[in-house]
Amino acid sequence: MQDGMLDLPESTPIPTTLLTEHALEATDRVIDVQAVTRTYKLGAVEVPALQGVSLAVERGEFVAIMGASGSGKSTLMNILGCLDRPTSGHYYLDGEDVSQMNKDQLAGVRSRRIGFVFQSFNLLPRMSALKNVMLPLAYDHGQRNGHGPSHEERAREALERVGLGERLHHRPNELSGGQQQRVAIARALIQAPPLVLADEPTGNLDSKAGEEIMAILSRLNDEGATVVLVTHEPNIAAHTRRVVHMHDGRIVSDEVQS
Amino acid sequence: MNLWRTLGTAWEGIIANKMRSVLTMLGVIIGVAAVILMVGVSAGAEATIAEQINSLGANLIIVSSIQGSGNTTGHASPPKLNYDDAQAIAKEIKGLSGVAPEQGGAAQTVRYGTANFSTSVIGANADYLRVRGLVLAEGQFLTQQDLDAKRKVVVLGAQVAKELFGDASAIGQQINVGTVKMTVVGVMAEKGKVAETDYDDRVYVPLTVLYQKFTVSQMAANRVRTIYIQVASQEGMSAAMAQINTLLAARHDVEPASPDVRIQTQGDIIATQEAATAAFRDLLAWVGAVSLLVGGIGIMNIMLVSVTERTREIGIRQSLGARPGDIRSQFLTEALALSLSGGLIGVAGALGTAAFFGSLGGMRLVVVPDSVLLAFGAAAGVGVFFGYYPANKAARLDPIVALRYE
Repeated sequence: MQDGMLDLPESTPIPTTLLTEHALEATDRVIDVQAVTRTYKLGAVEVPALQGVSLAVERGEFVAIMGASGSGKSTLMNILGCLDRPTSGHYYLDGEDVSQMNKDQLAGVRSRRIGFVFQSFNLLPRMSALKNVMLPLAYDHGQRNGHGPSHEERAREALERVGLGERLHHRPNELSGGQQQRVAIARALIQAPPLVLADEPTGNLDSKAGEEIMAILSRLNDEGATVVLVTHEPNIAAHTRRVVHMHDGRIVSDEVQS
Repeated sequence: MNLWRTLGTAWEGIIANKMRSVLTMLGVIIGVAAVILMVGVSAGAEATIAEQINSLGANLIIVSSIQGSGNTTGHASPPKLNYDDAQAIAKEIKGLSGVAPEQGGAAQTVRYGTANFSTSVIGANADYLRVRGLVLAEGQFLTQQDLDAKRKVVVLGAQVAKELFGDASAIGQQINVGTVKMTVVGVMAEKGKVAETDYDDRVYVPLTVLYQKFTVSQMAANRVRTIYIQVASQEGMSAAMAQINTLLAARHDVEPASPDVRIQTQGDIIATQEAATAAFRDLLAWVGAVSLLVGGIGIMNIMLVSVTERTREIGIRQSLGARPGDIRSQFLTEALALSLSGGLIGVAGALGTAAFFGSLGGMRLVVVPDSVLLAFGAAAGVGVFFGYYPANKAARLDPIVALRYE
């Protein structure tokens, strides 16, 4: 029953006008990053955070990006999440070049195509779990009204998928860390995005809750979701099928795990 | 985000910080209430003045002498208006329904038995009662025969009658006015004070008797201080004023363009009074406006604090797909909700205060609908104007920076 929710690629065709020649060749790539650089200006000094990164992630992959702090993995994550734009290079998300989009367009991409899971959960404290999960729907300006299940039904369903069907009306401070992260995962899933980005999703959790979260992410991946997570813990990365190592703004290794 | 959801979010923001929201609104509440009440107080005062002045007779032209002006030698001359002028006006000008000259004598002690009371003596004629819109409590007013025969009759003001006779009837009784024995023929109904004149603390005697018995010096013989002229119709007012001016100028031997008397209508007097209160009212309205401005700055201040406090929330919302416009309208709506709630409370407070003072009966407060609209509109404007900068600041936050904000 859950499969239908994540089968977005078939159900939302990309308008052909937005497709580039490149994208037509490889529509099964959710992420296609080509020679991306990102340089920050700190006063007069230019700090290169990414120095030519290329990375392709196929639909249904489960990828871990690892690296020490300062390796550029967070910068890459921001660009993959459309929170930041590359200084040069191209980023095709689900076949569409998002590297030159304006703020509003990027917000639209985040609303529909990316589900974020953060280290510190980032739930809004004044809202119930259900309201938190419904939040992305409020910002989806392109949604069609009057068809399909209501926002609340969709949020309820998403919370049931992460095993929180009994905690719909609890506020974040009434939930454990593991439960809060599960609410955040439900929020990331509600739009059935082609890409789920998890930034140190277990960083604030004890190992037991961390294992539960990884189990949920693995199950979602089994059900078809494309998951990219950033971590510096090897045992967390071990849950994934592919590990990308970064150092000094470059990818230094890219290994498929057995 | 649709409007209702934006409003809901804004309302949650206000509720989450109840105390702070109320304090923030206070400036707007006070400003709105001040504007409405201040305008209400002065409108009430103006209405009272206008009513009182109008109550002194309809279609009235008031001729009074100007002290020390209007002669050609450059020396101040005594006022020239006299009883003959009044009689000339009554005789020569058409379309009048009454001419009532008035002259005040020196203050006199009136006595009845052992009771005595000091009051002013007013010389009047038969038209006086009707022209001035006064009402008798009992008896009758002075008649033309009283004036012609110089009968020693007197009409008492309400307070004078009460002081001398208490609740007993005064009609037909002999009293002493100064040294003159006079017969009471009438008692006035209670009237009160109008523009510093106490209509209850006076007695009326025939003008001719006043000249004979109560005039201070021979210089003042035959003089009247004011002539009240009632015109038969509203349309005849301006023509009558022009004719009176021409007539009196000829009688006083001055140029009609520079008369030695002042010819006014009640409208002129009301307008003069209103001009005096208008400046006062404008000042009060400005006080309200400044209060609103301060309220607006308070809103801006608290919104800036709110944006800083909720930087993380803004980052989260951005990561979930909120556009800059969504964030801007969220905070703008919140500022607007603050100022409009403040405005509503202010309007309610002003109406409540007006009703309270109304029930006390002491101060008259007229709530002017325009002032309510103006104050409420200004509150809304303040919300948008002072909310825009913080909202825009929130909208322009970089999602990466906002998400990392602790």
